[in-house]
Amino acid sequence: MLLTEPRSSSPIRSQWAAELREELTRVICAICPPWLSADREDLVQTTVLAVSRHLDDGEGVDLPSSSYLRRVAHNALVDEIRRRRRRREVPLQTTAMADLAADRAPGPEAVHRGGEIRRGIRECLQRLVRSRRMAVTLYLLGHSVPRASELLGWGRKRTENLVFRGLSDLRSCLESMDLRP
Amino acid sequence: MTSEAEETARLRRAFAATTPSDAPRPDCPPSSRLWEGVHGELPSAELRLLLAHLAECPVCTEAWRLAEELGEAGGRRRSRRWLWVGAAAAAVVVLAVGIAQVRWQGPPTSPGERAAQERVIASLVKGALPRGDCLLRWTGPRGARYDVVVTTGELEVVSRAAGLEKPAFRVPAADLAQVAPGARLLFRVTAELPSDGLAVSETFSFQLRDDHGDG
Repeated sequence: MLLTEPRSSSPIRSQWAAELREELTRVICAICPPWLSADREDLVQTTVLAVSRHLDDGEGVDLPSSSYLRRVAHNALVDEIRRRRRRREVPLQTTAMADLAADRAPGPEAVHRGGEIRRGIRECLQRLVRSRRMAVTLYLLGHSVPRASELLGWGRKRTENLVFRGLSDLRSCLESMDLRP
Repeated sequence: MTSEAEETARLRRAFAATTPSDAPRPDCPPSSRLWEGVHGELPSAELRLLLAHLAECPVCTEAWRLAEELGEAGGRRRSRRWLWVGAAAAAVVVLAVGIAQVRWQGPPTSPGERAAQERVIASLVKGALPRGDCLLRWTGPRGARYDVVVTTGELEVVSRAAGLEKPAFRVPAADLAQVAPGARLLFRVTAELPSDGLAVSETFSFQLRDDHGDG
């Protein structure tokens, strides 16, 4: 039997792993809250290992396409974050909620207020009619109207109208709860 | 920044915020389903369910944003040389089928209901299908409406249809124009049941055949 270099140590694999690490670090810092991104090295390492194991389990192919790898990396990262959240191996203090209510002025009252706003938004979303809720949810997720329109398969005008009316309903609902983001 | 833009930014920040005490829920969709949602690979009925969940769940909101950011990262860097080696159809198909095994039905149903939903859609496609008459057929409950998504082995969407009243879809030849001869394609069907429930099929596969005279 011909012995070959283990796939996991091939130069291509090493290059890929280095680029994936860099990308994951950036994405975690951009999206995850401080308490989670503080663990980013550990998260990145766990994710890269999971993707490597996945590739080793594949049949005879060193590396598939980048879109496939990013998909696998996302799934591994999210699964790991979910595991950590379930275990709650994190300190309970966080500034994330405080930042919502008062920029860089954390305090118990700001944390409480931030939590109320967050809960209020989700509660008010439930009260919107379905089409507005879908459009506004995508908008709040950070998508532009054209992108939301593309994802929903609706016309741009219709999506824009639903976002506009949905946001207006959301604001009114928050005001009725005495909440102002 | 205008006050309206500032308010939108604050709303978005509040919606995206998570706390350490936010934990995944039993009805959270698999991470793969969130990736599919972000990248436009879900039938509309499934996307609707997913968005209803996202409106409630901060943990999945975070996962959705990670999918968007990782996907965007790849798009932005497409011009840069990543040293990715060609396609890995076999491995990808394994993943695609694996993903399909985890069927997210939204809020949990009873085991009996779930089993019944999984049995409800079966492919009637046998062997290869000609490019010029690529007719997908499947079994389904009476009165259901169907969404179908056809993808390559690498899960890139080739064609899709929504609101079909019959359990069949003829893939337009134009949608298949870029697909290589002999390629293996995947399709998945979502049935919107008359009872207002949803049933999601397994991922089925078929081969595309190029016959003489198919044009």
